[in-house]
Amino acid sequence: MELGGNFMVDQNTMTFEKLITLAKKSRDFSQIENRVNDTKVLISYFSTLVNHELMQTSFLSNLNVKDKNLKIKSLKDLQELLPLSEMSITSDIAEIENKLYKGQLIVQIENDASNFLLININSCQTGLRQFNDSENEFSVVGPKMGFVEDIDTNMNLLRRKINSPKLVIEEILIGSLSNTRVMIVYMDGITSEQHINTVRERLSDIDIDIVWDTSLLDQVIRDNQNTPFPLYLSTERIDRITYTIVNGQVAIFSDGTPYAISGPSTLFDFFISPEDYYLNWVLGSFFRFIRIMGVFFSIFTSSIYVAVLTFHYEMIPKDLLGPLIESRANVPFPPILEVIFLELTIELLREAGARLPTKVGQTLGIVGGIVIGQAAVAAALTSNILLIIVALSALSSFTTPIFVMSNTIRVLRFIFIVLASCLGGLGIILGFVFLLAHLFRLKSFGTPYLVPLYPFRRNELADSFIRTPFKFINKRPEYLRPKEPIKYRVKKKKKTKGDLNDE
Amino acid sequence: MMNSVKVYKQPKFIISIIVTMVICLILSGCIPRSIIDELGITHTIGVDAEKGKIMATVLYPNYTNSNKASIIKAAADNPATLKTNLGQKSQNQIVIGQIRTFVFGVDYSKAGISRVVETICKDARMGNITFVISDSKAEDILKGIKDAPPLFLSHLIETSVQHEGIPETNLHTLLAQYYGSGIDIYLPNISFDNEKQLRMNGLGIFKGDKLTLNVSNKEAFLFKIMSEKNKRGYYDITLPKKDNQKTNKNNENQKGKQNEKKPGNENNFAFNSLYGNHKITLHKKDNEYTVNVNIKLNVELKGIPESINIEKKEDFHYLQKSMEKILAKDIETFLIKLQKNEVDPLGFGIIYRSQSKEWNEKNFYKNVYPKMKFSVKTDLNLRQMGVGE
Repeated sequence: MELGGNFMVDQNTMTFEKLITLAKKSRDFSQIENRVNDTKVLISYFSTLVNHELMQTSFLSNLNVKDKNLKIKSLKDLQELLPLSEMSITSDIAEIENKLYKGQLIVQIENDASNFLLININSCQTGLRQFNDSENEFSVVGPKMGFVEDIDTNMNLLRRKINSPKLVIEEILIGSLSNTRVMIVYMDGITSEQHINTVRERLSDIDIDIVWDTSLLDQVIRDNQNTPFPLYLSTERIDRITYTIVNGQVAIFSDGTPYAISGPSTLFDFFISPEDYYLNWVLGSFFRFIRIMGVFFSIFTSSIYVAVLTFHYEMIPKDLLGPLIESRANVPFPPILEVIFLELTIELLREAGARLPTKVGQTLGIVGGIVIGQAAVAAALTSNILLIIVALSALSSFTTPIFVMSNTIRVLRFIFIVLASCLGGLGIILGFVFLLAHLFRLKSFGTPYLVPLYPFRRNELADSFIRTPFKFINKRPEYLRPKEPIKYRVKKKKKTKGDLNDE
Repeated sequence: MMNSVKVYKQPKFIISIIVTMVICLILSGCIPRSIIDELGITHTIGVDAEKGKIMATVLYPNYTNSNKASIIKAAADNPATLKTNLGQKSQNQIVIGQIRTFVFGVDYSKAGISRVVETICKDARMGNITFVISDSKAEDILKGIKDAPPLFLSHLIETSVQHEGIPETNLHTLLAQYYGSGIDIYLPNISFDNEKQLRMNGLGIFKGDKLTLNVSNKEAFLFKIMSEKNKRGYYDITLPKKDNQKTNKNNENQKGKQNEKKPGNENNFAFNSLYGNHKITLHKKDNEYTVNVNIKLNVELKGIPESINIEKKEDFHYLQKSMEKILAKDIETFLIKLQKNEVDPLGFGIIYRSQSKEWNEKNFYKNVYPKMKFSVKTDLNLRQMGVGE
């Protein structure tokens, strides 16, 4: 209470003079005195924030009135003079402060000292990229557009995709220093009120200085702070976020980042690629299935290698025994060190590849990978078979469409490797049980993370491991509690009479 | 803030994780590590009887360098000591988890294999291994395959079982026959032929745990089609000469050829059994038991005698009938041979037990089995003739 009280007092004592003195400390603050037919006009603004071209053509030039008889008596008269749309007259100092730092012009006239005209001619496009290809989430088929760093552009893109009055965009400001505009986007009449309220509540509870990215919001509002799993879908693709919103999830956008998050999401959402829907269901299902298999492969193969080679020689198929032993014959380390060495090498390559400039990165990735791999085998530090296993499991971890999820998978692998080296197959099973128990407990905005597997929802299996034809997936998932359960209606195909072409 | 919603269980959770990790680390000390390249992994073990002791010969391939297999021999009074005695002679720990084949020497199988079988079935590390007996000492067999690939014996048996008409046996069937009543053990037999090549040589049939009867490969095939779903294999038949052979060109040619003394018997040919089914039932009539054996086989003919023109209906009919007759007779002879030797590998005892309230194994083999009569019916379906070889 006390803190709030102080804050209020501070606001009240803030005068326009103080505001200007504070602003004058910065180099980029400018004040221009102008005259419109004897009326003195004082314009204050930050020169770095305004659009100078717009200021010249639409604002300053219009102040040079030719009609000598026109008298500017109030700000209203001045406002009528200008051909700009975003203008407001206010006497609220707090609002003025806010707008000034967002790049608006503050206009005063001498006859009216208590009111101020705020004109929005900020240059919001400066410094933003011009292209909006999605950078990290590719698809071969379908649109390639992604969001950009500017939130207004993003909302524009979104509205163009969902052209419906049901699309609601709420705005709140978060960040005591950054005052970032954060948007809550949902479908009115479709998205469950409960979820919207949860998002609103959690977002307005946030007390943070700067909102760097939506992933930061994600971490602050998530239900379980200690899980390595991403609880909200984070994506830069328009089609993906549109799909989640239309399904009845709530999306959160924040200014300054192309990534949007949406929730409540389930584990399966992270293995869905838009391409699954752009391709025929047979192909889409196959690729999705491969992707999910890839996850298991990525998590378990290296740990199974460790477990089998350290403890369970009995279960090696007889024809594999020779190659396995031969390739390991000269390796002086136990399997665990061998695996960790290679896994770390791959992680280093990945990390280096992500940090290095694009052109150098590729070369280093290929050359480094091949040279290090070959040399490690030649120097008998690792076995050939392990090299293949580790490379394959690294490869399959990259098939996961959401980057955050693929990171999680790669980290999980190490836990399993250590467990496998301690307890063998039992360790892997123990780890798996822990993992399952953890996943069962996870919630995303209060919704179970593992639906439709747990709790089991038979109807929603249609769009989980495989992607069934569109006529089966016309309903919104039940766990999202949508107000309108049906997305679109499926018409029964009419049987046409036999024609020659029907044969 | 929203932390109040989920913070409440964190300390417990972290403690439980730490406890589990610690337990994992401590427990991991209890598990013996067996890193794969530091083991003496053996695929084949031979067991012989020697001077009242059990002698084991272990053949283990050296995968790590030069691929040369080593042979270790050790003798002991019991199977457990045997393992230690073997281990003392090897640079690597001898492990039995990858054993594929167990060879019993002739002396040992005649003396009784119970000791080893009972030890093996208690070891969970053993997979579903194959047992074979040999006509010579097991040691000789192992020495003979020392230079062959590590899994030679296992592959040899596998192929013979799959394609060449040798009945399938493994640890499971052995234990079922050993502990089950109303059936006797049978194991494939391997031996070296005159050219020192290892070959499958029929079956060895046990009474109790002692080897009593050896049957040939041909009989092993008959055994296979009466006991297994997989009926693949070759069987050769010598056709009796037709009584009323018409003198035609074909015959003259044949005679001419016979005069030239071509190698092989002209009237002898083989068929390849493809698939089929068998049914063995037991019938009681006036206190006399009859075993009905019904066999239906789909066979592929391989090289029929030139005297037979298969396109002719009567020849075809004649061929089919005589093949059925010969096969049925061979089977009956084989069954009587088993009966005379008082062994029951086909498990007539089990069929009997399922049909009568009273079951006494001794009584059955003493009084019922020797008096049993056999009636064999075969039904051959000839297909795919003239194509191929």
